[in-house]
Amino acid sequence: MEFIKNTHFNFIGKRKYSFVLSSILVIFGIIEIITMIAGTARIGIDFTGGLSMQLAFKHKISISSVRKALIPAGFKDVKIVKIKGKNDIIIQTKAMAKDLNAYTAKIKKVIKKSFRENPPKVVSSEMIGPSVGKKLAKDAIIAIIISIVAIILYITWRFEFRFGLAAAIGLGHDVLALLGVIFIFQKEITLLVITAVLTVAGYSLTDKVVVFDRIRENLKIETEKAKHIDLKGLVNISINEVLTRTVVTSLTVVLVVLSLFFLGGIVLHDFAFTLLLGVLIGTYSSIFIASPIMVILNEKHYK
Amino acid sequence: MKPVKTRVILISVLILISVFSIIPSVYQNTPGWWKAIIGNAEMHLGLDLQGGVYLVEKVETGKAVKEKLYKDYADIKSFAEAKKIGKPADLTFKNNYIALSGGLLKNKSGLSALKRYIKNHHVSLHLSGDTIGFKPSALSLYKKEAVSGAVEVMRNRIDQFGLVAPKIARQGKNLIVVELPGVKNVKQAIKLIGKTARLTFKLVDDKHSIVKALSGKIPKGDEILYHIKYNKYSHKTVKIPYLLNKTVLMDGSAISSANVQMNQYNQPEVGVSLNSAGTQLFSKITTKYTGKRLAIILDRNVISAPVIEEPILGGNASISGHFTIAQADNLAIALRSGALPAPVKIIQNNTVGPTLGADSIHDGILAAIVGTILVILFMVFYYKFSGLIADFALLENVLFLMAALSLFGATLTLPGIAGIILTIGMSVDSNVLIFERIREELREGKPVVIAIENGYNKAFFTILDSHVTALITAAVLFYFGSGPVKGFAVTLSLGILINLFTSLVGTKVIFDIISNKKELNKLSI
Repeated sequence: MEFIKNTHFNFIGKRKYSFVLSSILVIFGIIEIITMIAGTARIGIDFTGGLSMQLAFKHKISISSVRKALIPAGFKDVKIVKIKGKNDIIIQTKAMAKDLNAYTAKIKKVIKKSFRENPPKVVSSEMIGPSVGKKLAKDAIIAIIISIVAIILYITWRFEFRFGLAAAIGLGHDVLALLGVIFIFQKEITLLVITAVLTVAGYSLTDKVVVFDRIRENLKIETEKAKHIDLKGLVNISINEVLTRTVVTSLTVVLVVLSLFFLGGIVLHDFAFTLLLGVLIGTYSSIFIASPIMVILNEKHYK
Repeated sequence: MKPVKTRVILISVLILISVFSIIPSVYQNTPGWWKAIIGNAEMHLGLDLQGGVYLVEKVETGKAVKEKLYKDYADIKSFAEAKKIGKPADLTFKNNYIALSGGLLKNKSGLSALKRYIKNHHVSLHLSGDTIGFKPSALSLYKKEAVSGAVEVMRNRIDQFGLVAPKIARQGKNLIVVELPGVKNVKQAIKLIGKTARLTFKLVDDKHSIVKALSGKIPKGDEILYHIKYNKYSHKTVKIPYLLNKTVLMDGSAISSANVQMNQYNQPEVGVSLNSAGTQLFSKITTKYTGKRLAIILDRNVISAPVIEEPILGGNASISGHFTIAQADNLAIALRSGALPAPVKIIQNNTVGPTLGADSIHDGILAAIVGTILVILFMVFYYKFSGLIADFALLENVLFLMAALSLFGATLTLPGIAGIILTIGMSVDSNVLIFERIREELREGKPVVIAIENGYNKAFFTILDSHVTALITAAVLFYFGSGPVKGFAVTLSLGILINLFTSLVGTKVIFDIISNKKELNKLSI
C-alpha cells in the first residue's frame, strides 16, 4: 500500500505563495503575542482569575447539563465543580471585578431559564485569583526562544549552520503561525492551548529534521542525482523522496488528534483544534518554508 | 543468525517491571509489600479527574491588625516605662489605636523620644496628636501581607504533608481557596491545614532518655514532638522525635523579621531579627541555657533544634541546619508568617467531585481508545505485517510511559492524558521512517534481510537527530517552565526517550527473530 509514488512536485518553485501565506499568519501571530503582553488577548481563567459562584439547586444536577446551558450564553471557559452530598455546584468563569454583579445576574438568569423545575439559589459569588501565574506564559515564550538557540547549535553541529538556522526559523514560524491561527479564530489562551503550542514546537522539529536529513544525504552523495542540478532541484528531489514519510507521520498524529477533536468533549476541543492546526502547519512549513529558506540562505552564502 | 536472546530478555524484563509498577496505580487493593517494593510510587489523579476537598478560608485581617497593634503597644509601653516617659496609665490600648493621655502629653522631650522610637522601631505606626495608629498605607500593606503570609503558611503545610497537586489561590481580598485532590475526608484536611500557625521556642530535655520517653514514661513537665521530614523522591515522611520541656520560653511574637542568608560555609541559613521585647527575652534565655538545645516549633512540628553556643544579646539570631535554599526559604516564610498572628477561619468546606465531570473524563478516554485503534488499524493497512510489528512497539511505548509516570509519582490531569494520547500518534513515526527506508532498499532490489538492516541503519541517525532536537525543546521547557509546563516537559521527555528504545530495539528484534527462523524472501511491508 502506497499513497504517493515517484512524485516530482516543484515545491521550492511555489515558495512565493507560501511565503505570502506564512507572512500573513506570522503577522497575526505577532499581533496575538502583543495582545497577550498587553493583557488584551483572550486569556483563560487559569491566568486571569475571575468569578466564582456557588449555586444550590433543589434537586440533583449534572455538570454536563450546566455546561450545556452556559455555553450557548457565551460562557465558554467555565469550570464547574459539584459538591458531594449536596445539590450544589461551583461555577468559575472569567470576569472582571467590576462585572461581578452583572455576570452573577446573567449566569443566574441563564441557569434559571434552563432549569425551571430545579431552580437554584445563589449561595455566594466572589472574585477568585489566578491559579496559574501569568509568569507561566512568559516562561513558555522564553523557553521557546532559548530552545530555538539550542536547536541552531545542535543542528549546526550535526548538519550545517544553514540547516540549523532554517530549522530554527521554521520552528519560530510554526509557533507564530499557530498563534496567528489562534488569533484569527479568536480562541482563548488556556493552559491546555499553551501545552498544545509547546507540543507542536517539539513535533514540527522532528518533521524538519527528516527532510533536512535527506537533503544532507543527497548533498553528500553528489552522484548522478546531484551532478546536473542546482541546490533548488536537489532540495526538490529530497522533499519528493521523503514526501510519503512526511505525509504518513503527520497522518498518524492527525488520526489521534481528530479523534480527540470529535470525541474528546468540549474541554479538549480547543486543545485538539490547536494541535490539529499545529501539526498541519508544522508539516507544511517543513516543505514550503524551512526547505526554501535553507536554499535561500545557501544562495546568499555562496554568491 | 542474529543473537536475539539478550534483547528478548531485556524487553521481557522491562515489560514485567512496567506491569509491576503500574498495578498499584490502577488497582487500589494492591498489597502493601508490593507498593513498598516500588517505593510507594504511584500515579496520582488531579482534582479535575478525581475530585477532592475544596476549602475556602477567610484570613481575619482585622484581628491580625489588632493583635499586631497590641504587640507594638506592649513594646512601646515597655520602652516608655524603661525611659520613664509618663505613667503606665498614660498609654492605653484602644481597639484600633493607642491613646496617649495625662502627663505624657505635656512631657515634650519624652514625647519626641517616643516619636523617634516609633519611627525607628515601628515603621508602620505614627504618632500624631494624642494617638498612635497605623499609617493608612502601612495598614493596607499589612493586611495584604497577612493574607499572602497565610497563603504561604497553607502552602508550607500542604507541602509538608506531601499531598499531590494541591492548588492554593487567593480569592477576593482576604479569602484563600484550597483544592486538595484525592483527599476524601474534609475533617482530615482541616486538621492538616486549618490551625493558625503558632511559633514557639522550647528547651530540649537532655537529662532524660528519649527512648524511655517513647516507651511511655514521659518525665513530668515534658512532651514529645516530632520533626517531620518529607522526602519528595521516596514519598515517605520520616518522623524524628524530640523530648521537650513543655514550658514555652518564647513565641512568634518576639520575631520582627526573618530572611534567608548564607553563612561562612556558603550554606543557607535563616537570619532572624527580634523586636525589643524579644531581644531582652532571648538574651535572658540564651544566657541561662548556654550549651543546651533550643527547639523551634511551628504548630506541633519541630523545625530545628540548634545548640545555644553562646548568649545572644543583640537581637539577631540565625538558624542553621543543613537546609536547601528552598527549605530555608520556607522556614523564613513560616517564621515571618508565624510572626503574623493572622487567624484563619474556614468559611466553606466541601468534598467535591471531579471538576471535569464524568462526561469529560469519559469523552477523553473514549477519544484515546478510538485514536489508538485508528493508528493501529492504519499501520496494518499501510504496512501490512510490518505495521503489526510497529503496533506492538506502540503498545510497548504506552506501557513503558505509564510505568515511568507511575514511578515518577506523576500527577495525571486531563492535559497529561492528552499528552499521552499524542505520544500514541507520534510513537509509530519512527517506525514509519524505518519502513519507508526498507521500502526504498527493496525497490532498489536488495535482498530482504539486507534491506531490513540497511533500513534500520540508515534511518537511525534521522531518528536520533529528530528525537534529540525534540528532547532539547523538552529539556529547555523543563528548565525554564514552571508548574504544569514542567510536568508536561517530563511526560514529553520520557515519551521521546522511550520511543527511541521501542521503535529501534523493540521492532528490530522481532524482524531478527523472524529472519532467524526462516529465510525471508518476501517481506510484508
